[in-house]
Amino acid sequence: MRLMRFVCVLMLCLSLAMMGTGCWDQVELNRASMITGLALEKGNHMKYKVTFEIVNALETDPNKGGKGGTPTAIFTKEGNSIAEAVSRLNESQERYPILAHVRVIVIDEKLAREGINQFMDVLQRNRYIREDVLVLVGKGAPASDFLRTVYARGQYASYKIQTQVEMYRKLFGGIPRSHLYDVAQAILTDGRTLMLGAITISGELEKSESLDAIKTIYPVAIVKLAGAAVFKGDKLIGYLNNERTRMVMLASDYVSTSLFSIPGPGGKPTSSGAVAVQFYHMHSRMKVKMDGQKPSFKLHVEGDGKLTSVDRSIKLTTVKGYEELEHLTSNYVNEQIQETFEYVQKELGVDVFGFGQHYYRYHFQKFKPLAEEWDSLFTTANLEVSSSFTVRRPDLKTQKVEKDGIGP
Amino acid sequence: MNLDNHGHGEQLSSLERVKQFFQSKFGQTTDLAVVSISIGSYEGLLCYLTTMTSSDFIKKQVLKELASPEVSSPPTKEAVFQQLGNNHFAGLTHEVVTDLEQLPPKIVLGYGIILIEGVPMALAVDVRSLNSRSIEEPTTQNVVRGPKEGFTESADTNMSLIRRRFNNVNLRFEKFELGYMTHTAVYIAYLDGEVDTEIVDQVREKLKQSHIDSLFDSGRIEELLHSKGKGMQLFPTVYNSERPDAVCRHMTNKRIAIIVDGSPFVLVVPSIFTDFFKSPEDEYQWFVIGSFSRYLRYFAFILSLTVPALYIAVTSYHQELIPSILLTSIAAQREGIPFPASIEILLMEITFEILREAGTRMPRIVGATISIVGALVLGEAAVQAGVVSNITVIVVSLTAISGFVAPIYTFGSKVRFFRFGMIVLSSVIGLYGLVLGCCLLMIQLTRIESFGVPYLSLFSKWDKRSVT
Repeated sequence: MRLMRFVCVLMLCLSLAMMGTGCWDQVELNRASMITGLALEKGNHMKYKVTFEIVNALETDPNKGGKGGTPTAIFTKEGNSIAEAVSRLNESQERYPILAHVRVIVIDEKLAREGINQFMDVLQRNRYIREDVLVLVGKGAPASDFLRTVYARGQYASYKIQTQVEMYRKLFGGIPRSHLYDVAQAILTDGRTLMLGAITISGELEKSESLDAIKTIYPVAIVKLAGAAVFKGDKLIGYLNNERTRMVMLASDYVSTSLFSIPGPGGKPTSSGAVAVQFYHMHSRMKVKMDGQKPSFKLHVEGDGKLTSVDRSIKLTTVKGYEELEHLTSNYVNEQIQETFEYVQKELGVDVFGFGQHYYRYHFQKFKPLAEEWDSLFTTANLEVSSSFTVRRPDLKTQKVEKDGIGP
Repeated sequence: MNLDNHGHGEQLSSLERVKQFFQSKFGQTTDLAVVSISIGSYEGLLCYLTTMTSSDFIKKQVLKELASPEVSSPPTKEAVFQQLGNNHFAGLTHEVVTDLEQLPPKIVLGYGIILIEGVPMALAVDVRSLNSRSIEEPTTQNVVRGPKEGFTESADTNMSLIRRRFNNVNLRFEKFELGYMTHTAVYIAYLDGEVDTEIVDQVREKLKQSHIDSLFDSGRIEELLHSKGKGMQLFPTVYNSERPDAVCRHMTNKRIAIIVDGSPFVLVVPSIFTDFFKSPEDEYQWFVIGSFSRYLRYFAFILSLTVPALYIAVTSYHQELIPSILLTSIAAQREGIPFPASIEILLMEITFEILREAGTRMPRIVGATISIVGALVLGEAAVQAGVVSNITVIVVSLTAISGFVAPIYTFGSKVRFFRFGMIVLSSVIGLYGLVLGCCLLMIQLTRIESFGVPYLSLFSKWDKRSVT
């Protein structure tokens, strides 16, 4: 009986302890709101201006359809640190902010030029911000504007941007990987330059803030992907367009699916007779060595894919036709990579390809003395590109639909 | 009672005294028949309980035999008994009794007593003939493919159902009597040579030492058969089944079946955790399908234990674990719901329990009411009224359905009980509470033993050969 009594008292104490101490971090969903996007800018009165995109859950519910309001609400707060601005969010809104579902962090161009290291810590330290959140640079418009463009699909702007970036990267490769952990990796790794995705707005933003903007068939303003923002250290120094970004990413083995459109004979991109080839499973290997004081790079790209369109007559009933296609593709890709390489050397002067990283990994002892001056060495380097592409199938037709002609 | 003091045999020889004795024992009960008969040329007496036999049986099996011409001319009175026993009642269980005191218990069991004036012996013949439910399809453990016979309330039928499946000399039945008011017959059945004799001894001992007043269903002795001091009985350690094939399958696996007269549920000991996830049907079909459904049951068990708790923990403590789109969807539904998630879930779970209880106890004629009202309470109307959210309805229904997947109903009902504990824990300290609850449950599970067999034996010690 005494034992029973003891057990009962113990249970009572335990349950009291649990009831009394529990629940402290409980957040009811209908008293909280999800922050889905952050835009960081230079402040007018304080150091930073942070814009929050907060979801109005009821409006995003596909079943109920909402009451015709906007799917998100935008709040802007200033603070001398990002954390301060976040903590002041409740000056304007009533709910507990859940940071765990932030999907994109847009950094303003001006802020990025000053360096991003000064505020990255809060994003990396906070346990609620996921490591795979996208960090993008807003090109040509204030960062907060990107969260203001409403989109016809009814979802919030940052969701659209996130899936857009991921899908584009997967299907075309014209934007660098720019997750939060990529930032940390690029900053920590020697011989690698930080590249973040760049986004821009086309259209009239003033009209796009209203829901009326999505009632037209042609979106009034839309967020577009604009290639890569290139950093030196942690400071933004320039941009690469989508095409060049793709070549850079292809060279560093980050692109596996993409389509190349090879211009027709005539030399100009607009010449008729273009060939389009879709590749899957692309890979690239690089080799780095020093020719005296000058680095020399070798790059080999390979891939296999299918023919998507051919506007000239190449016979695909013979092996020769395929060989011609493969040859065309190889030449084109080699040229493009070479062109990009030279552009980067001349205009940006930083090793965005990661040759330095490769050298650092495979020849650490040789890289060590060069680490400091690698970027200047990079601008003097030579690149030799080779590629082997395999066209596996021509899809439905073996030949362009045209009359063969009668007679010999 | 004063009759007890006299000698035994002599009392049997005086029919008048026997009548008096019965009167004093049975009182004024109306179902006692004491009939004076004549056996050949001798004066005799026939006693039986009319409620334990049918008049048809008495007429055809007893009176007809007694009136047959061979009986009329035996040399001595004693020889009459010999002849009756050896020739006329050879097909029925019979016994010569010389002690008057032994007669009333026999009568109660359904024996008919035949006495002859002046003979110090009585012949007890089993004339029991009772109406019992015919063998029907089991109602609680259904199979699509497999035998459709189910145990009935009659222990004789049940034993016969088992014997039919074992054409084997090693099958043993042993009889016990339990309940000092009811003297209910309890039989244990096992395969001699297969079964562990120590466990049989333990079962015998437990049945003998039981002090219960009455026994109307095997559920009553389940508690008796739990191993004491081996953890609280949070999980059933006694398997029960309405299906002879399931019980027999267990008996081939060194188990002991316990048949209680009056209960269609036969118990099986020792039982382990995995037994409660097996359905006899698993073995009657392609093993892949059988294994699949068995694993599905384990999965459903985990679901029914944790889903509501997980829902609460995740939505009110760990929103970061839910995919964003799902979270927006949940948040949209929870918009305008007056209660916190935990209260909402508890409310719905209790509502469901009430519905289930009502559905089980309700007379079958009004059964349709339950489904109408239930669908309204747990369904659309509650959501539309804004009392609960859609997702809660999904969670509660998923849990409810999963709870009924266990082939043994008693197991499912215990799981339901733990679910509430999990809900409370997780609504107080989140996922940590859920994990804590699962740990406690696991500790408890590992402590349980059933007749010396660890409850989790198949999991704790992986032996390829022992997996059946």
